[in-house]
Amino acid sequence: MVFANLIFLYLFLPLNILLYFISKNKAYRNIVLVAFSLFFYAWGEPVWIFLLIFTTLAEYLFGLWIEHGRGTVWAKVSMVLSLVLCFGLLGVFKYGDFIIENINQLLGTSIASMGFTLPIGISFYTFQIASYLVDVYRGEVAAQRSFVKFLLFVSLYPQLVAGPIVRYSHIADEIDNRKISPGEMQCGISRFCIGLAKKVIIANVAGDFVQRYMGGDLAKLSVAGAWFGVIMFTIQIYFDFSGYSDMAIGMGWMFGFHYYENFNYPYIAKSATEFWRRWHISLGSFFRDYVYIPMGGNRKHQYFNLFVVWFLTGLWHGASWNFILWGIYFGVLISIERLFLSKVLKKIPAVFSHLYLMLMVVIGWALFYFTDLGKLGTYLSIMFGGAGRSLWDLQLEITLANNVFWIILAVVFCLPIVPKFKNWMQTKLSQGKQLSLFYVQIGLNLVLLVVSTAMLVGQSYNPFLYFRF
Amino acid sequence: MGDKIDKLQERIFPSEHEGETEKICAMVGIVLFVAALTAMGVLSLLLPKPLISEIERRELAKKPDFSATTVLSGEYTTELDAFYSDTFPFREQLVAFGNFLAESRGVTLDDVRIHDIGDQTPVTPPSSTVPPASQAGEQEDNSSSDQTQSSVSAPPVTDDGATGEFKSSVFIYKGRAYQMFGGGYDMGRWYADTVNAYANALGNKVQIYDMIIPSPAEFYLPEKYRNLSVEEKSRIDNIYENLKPSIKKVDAYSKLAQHTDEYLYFNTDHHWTALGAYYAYTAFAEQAGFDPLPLSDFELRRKDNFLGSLYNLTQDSSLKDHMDYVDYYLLPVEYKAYRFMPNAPYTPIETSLHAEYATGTNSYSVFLHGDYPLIRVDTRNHNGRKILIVKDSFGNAFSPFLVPHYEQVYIVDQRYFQLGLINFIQQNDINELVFAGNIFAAHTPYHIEKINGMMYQEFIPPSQRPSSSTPPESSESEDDRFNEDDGWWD
Repeated sequence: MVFANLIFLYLFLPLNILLYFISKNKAYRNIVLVAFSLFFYAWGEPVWIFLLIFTTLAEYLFGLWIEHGRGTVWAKVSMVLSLVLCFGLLGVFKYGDFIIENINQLLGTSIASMGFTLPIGISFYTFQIASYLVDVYRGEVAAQRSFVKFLLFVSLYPQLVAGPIVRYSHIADEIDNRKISPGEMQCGISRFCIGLAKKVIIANVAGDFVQRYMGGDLAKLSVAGAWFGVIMFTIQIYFDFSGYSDMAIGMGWMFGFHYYENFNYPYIAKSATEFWRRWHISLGSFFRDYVYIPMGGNRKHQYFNLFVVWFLTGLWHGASWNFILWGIYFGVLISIERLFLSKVLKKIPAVFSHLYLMLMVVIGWALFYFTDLGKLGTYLSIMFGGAGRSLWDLQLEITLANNVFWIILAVVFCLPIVPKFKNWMQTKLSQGKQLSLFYVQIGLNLVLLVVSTAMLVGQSYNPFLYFRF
Repeated sequence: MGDKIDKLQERIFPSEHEGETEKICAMVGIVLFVAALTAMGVLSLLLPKPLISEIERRELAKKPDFSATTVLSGEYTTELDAFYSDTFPFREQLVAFGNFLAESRGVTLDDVRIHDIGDQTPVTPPSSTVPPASQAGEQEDNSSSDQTQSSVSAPPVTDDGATGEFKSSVFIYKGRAYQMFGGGYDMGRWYADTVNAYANALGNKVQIYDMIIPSPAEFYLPEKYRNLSVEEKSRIDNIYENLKPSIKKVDAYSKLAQHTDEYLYFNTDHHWTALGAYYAYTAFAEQAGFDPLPLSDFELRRKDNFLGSLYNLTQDSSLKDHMDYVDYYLLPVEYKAYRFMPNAPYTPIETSLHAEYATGTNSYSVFLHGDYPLIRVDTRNHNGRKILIVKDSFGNAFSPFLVPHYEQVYIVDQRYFQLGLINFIQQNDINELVFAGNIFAAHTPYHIEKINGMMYQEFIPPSQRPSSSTPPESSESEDDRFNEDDGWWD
């Protein structure tokens, strides 16, 4: 199931909230969450749910063994085995066919592909489990003794399919003890509505343009059209992904869990290094803590470490060369910045460093979009005038005019105007006025909900027309 | 990666001061939110579920059957999702509101709007007017056999966007909707080769005509926007140049071009009017060697308040102010017409050429009652001329005009006809054959493949088809439901 879905919004979520809050019993509440989470997962993955449960059970036992053997060689052995298991499963199910395909190409063999569909969320939950196992080995957290609670940590549906990657240490306490105040719950609702609106009102609409300009017929694309397409993808991917994180964080608050921020207005960054501190923070920090620093970080063969981290970051995003290319692209940018560029970026007027970053990010999204490297080449050459296309086209002009307010809205909400406004509100406004704004927010939540619903319902509008004439 | 990340890595606790008033305020927000979700959820379960959507002219998704196989394959939940959103409470109002919002996303300079509608894969019509997949497989088998050396295979796909498939955009200019044509020369050649294959198969016993109908974009788009849609004259010429010399080319284009100040095409529907079809008929008469009847010989009737397919698709508010009307011309001669339903190609049912009860968004179905695989018309003429028209829905308005000039007229819909056409023509001693289709269809693989596949296809009764790939057979009444007769939309 996904969040931006009518069944989720109008049946699953309210039922979950009502059943959750009818009792204060902690064990009951955990069981409700586990049951709803498993149902949520099984809705989209009726088969892979068994893989999820199997992985969770095996790694739960490994966690106990690691703790049991702490201080002996068995701890290390169990940890290595446990990681082999979870990354092995990830490798088989996510990368198996990609590896086979490349071996076939390289050696001229013809090994049959396995043809698995990717189990949803496997990249996220594998990383959650891995961080838990390593933390248990390092003695940073105690192993979870209850299987249900461990299952709750792995499968909790707000973050199960699209992150953020939650570390066990962050929510270990809250699995047993969580307090929910009305204020926090209301904040969670607001956060959820904002995330839903980001996904439905901005990302989905941008996605239609992306499909048309990047996914359509490249033969007729103008230079401006190519830029429009990739900028729309830049908007789509940010609002889609951060919208999901907002919904996850918001639902976490509704049920008393506090996650970390996953996005911090990445497009206002002034360097690639800064961008990655603001984009998908839970992934970046995972690679920092579990790959980069253990490999030696800045102290030993730093550039090799950077290469490994960015290769893996790219690979994490998908089993295709263009993702690896995209990861290495950022690795190279960050290395260059580390060598000398960041000093330059700090000296020049901020507007230029912003432009530099946005240009790099936008090109990066082109790499990210095209799994077909040939198409990628065509697209980039159109963007940079290498294909001899006209600069401008009338259809784009009309599309821009027809959507100008929406475009302004999408661009403005890439900037941190909401936190700025909240800051201003808290310092400048009286208590009474703040309270009335609180009511405005309640109204706004409902407006966002209605608009998102209308647009979700609109997706099913599919008139039968004699379009076969 | 530095230490800044650690600052960002702080866990976030929403900072709300929780005094008593704030708590009450928060409770109001929570209760409103949960109540809104629950209320809609309960309504969605309790309200009666509609089966059809009138504005979309289609059957809504049905509640799927629960079974272990469908659940495990994920089919069940996918279909349940479709069912739920198709039957969501207040769906039509919400869709209308969503359209209002979409129109508010920007400004319309020059009264111009483009509706990007993404990949508009043709929606499967309700019930099974389209021959099931197993049938299509049969056709392919056939066309690869020796018998059909003349049939044409698809040309190598060139990336010139030449498919002309209806996938991109509808262009609205001053209250009139245009589809943007994108057909390329390769596709046109493929179409021409397909028609040539009929000439090869039928030899000189059958006179073949071909008529490509241009779209209104060709005549009515102002200079500034003309380039949005590919110029059509050269594409029609391309087809005609690639047709064998023995095939007569009907120049509907010039006749239409001489009358552009008249009502040739609808504002809100993708079809042409009967008047447009009449001018095409005069062009056809020149090739076929008879004198066309003057318009005054026909009895004119009219259907008002027609908002057609392009309005349904875009829901563009400016189209609403330019409602169409549908004129149709009753024939001045006597005739008997029979139609043949899908999956029953040997069972004639008496019918008429005009469905006078068609109304509203279905008004174009006044012509031939909609699309049927085959209609046969017997007249009182004894001139030995028998013609078969291979058509898409543009042919519906055109075909009746031929009736006064022939002994028999066969009207075949290229999408739904289920018999082998070459055989059919020979067995019925048909001596003239006209392909009458619009320029989009002539540049669309689906249509070209249908025309090609029809040559030697064999009809397999539904009962003898392999059950695995065949959807549950619909009864005849369901087919009727899609066509005009039962008038289910009223």
